[in-house]
Amino acid sequence: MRYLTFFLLAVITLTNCKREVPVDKVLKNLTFSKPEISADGQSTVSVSVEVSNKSSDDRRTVIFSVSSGVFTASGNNKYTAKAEYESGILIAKATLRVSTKPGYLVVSVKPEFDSPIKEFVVTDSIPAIKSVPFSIKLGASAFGIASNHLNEVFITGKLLNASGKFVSEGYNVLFEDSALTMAAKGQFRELNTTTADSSASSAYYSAFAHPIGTQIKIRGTLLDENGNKTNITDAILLTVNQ
Amino acid sequence: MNKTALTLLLFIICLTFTNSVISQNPFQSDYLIKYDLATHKTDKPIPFDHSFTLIVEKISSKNIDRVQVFEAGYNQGKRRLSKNSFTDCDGQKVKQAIVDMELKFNPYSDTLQIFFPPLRPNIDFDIMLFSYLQPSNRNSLLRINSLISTSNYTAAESAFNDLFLALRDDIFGRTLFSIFSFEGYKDFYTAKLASHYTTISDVSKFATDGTLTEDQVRAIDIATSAAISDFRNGDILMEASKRNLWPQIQNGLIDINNVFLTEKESLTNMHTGHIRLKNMESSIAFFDSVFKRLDRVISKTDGIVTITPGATPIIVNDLRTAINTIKNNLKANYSLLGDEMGAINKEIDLDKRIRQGSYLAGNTLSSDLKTAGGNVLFLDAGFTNIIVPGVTNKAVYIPKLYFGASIYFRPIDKNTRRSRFPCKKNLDPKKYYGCHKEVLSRNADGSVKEISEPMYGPDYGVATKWDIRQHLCLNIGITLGAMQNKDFDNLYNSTSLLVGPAYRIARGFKVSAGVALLKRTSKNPIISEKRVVPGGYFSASVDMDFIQSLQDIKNILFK
Repeated sequence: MRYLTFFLLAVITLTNCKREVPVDKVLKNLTFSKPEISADGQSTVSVSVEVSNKSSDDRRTVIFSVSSGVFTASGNNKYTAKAEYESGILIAKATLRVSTKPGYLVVSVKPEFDSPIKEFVVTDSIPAIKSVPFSIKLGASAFGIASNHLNEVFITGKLLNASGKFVSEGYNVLFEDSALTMAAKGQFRELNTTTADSSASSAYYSAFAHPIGTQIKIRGTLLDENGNKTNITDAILLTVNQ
Repeated sequence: MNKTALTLLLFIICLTFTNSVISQNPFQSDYLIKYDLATHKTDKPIPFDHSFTLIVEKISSKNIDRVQVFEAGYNQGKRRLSKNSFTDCDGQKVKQAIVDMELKFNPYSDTLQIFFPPLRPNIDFDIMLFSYLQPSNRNSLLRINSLISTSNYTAAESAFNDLFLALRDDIFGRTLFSIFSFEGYKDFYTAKLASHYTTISDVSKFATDGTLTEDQVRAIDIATSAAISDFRNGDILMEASKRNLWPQIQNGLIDINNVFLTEKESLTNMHTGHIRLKNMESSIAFFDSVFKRLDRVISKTDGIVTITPGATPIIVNDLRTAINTIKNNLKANYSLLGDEMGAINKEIDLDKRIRQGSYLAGNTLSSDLKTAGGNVLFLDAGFTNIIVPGVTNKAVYIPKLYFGASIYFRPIDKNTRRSRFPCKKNLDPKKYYGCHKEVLSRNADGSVKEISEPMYGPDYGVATKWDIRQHLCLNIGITLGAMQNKDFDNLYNSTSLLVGPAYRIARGFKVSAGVALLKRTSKNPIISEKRVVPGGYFSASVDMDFIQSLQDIKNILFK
């Protein structure tokens, strides 16, 4: 009877033993192809995660998600990828395109199959450093303009960094007009002076009642954090032609 | 009454009558087994877990004093008594066979009927019969006594040694004659027998005054030969008369029929009571015959009254008186000597050291005294309750029907009940391995007056005692049907495995608890294959035979 009691106790112990599955037995080694990325809205980084070799063939699909930016394959912040063997290791990969918002990009990966036990998620982040303006390039929808506000010219000012790529969002541009012999007195409308995803600022400009042939200079200047003009500036000339 | 109610009623009736209805008495036997001494075989297998009576024909129980059973076994092809290791009464570690049980037997039967309690399965055993000394050995012992009585110790010791060897089993050297030295026997003789031998050797206690003269012998011959038929034994009487052997004849020192032998051949001494008794028996018969012949002469109406073979006439009636005197002396002497020899034999029989043994199977190398084996595997069916941790570690209850196999750790006879076997603590007498002594009597103040000789055993090695193994078995079961819970699957095809101890209740019912093995969704989300997980189960089942019996009854009633 003593042995029987021991046996039953062993059975109860065995059946009540809680063996949790650690996350690293499911997913591990979430890595980025570079340590940091410029928040220029154009750069990409490769993200990979290792899936356990013990996984079943039909359970090798994982879901990538990112706090900011988009996955190039899906065009949004989620991407479903199936792990494949690379040198004997099951790897799931995704390519992430950064946004123009600087900060940390938090990437999470989890199995596609929902477990009722807990979330099996691996998370890591990569710093998205600010893309600093190096130049500004103004453009206009036309080089001639009618006097007395008879028409409008669409003015764009695109900020580029030293690599010729977009800058991060939030930079302010000041648009000004001037004429060589008199005050320009033109008007800007729908001023969009703060850069966003397209790294551009814009405005519609209409000219005062100037004589035909008058040249009006439109200048776009990058403002610093305090609203002061910087040396990064560009200008275009519009000619009053009617 | 609907079918369900009737089935339930049948079930209850079956439960009630599955109990044994055999009346019990101390010698209740389930089976009678005959043992053939010639072939050393039993007429049917010896059952296990059932009491039985072993009938041994050609052995009378009247000569049997005790019957013991010893467990035997085979060692390197040789059948030996199983030995026990224990500390003897001298504190020495010894290893020897000790008695397993003292068996009861019917003391009133002309055949030996030994009552066996239930024995364990697959057990070899020997039966040792303690009998009183048989005539040849008893006569040898009486001769030793007579030699001691005549102080012929050298011859007595030699005869004792011969007897001791004769009482030993030639194959295994076992003996039940437990007086191992002549000196020891002399002590016994002095204490118990010497006074009787003094009596029988005292000539003055025996009547020897009867005589016949030669003329009287001639007269008997003439009278009976003429009136009846030729008296052929006249020469015997004449020889006795001529040699004047009448005192020796009446003392039984010589058989009347042996008077023509030499003294050395025919005469014995006063101390050989057992030979004297035989001689007396023979002489009494002889003189009875002569006496009847004379009576027939006298009874004739025209018979002879007086005969004159010599100078003096002899009256036939006087002859009758002379013969009667001798005959009566013989009878009186026979009675006295018989009483004394009876007392001597009684003293010999009372001493338990003076026994001879015979062995059933033990000295024949026969393996037939072996209990049968039996099934250790039984099939049953029942209902099991599986409790297994789910994916989230919460207990999940899964009820299932199942078939199972019960594997016992010893052969089982389902027709036996635990009440048939004694518990170890209730064994009577108690179980002993080593030395123990019993208080035979006490003084008035409670102190020990007499204590028994050292005793070893019984160890009940062959007996069935109540044992958990008669009810405990290993249950191996398979469940039936698919799993309803999607997180679980059967272990193999549509069956899951149950393994655990089971306990038999009554004859056909079992409860079991143990480990259930089945498959469950892995806790790892990237593994889709279900993994084998252990759970616990508790089940109740019924023996398949029992189910079949119920089914048969149901078929009869509802066909």
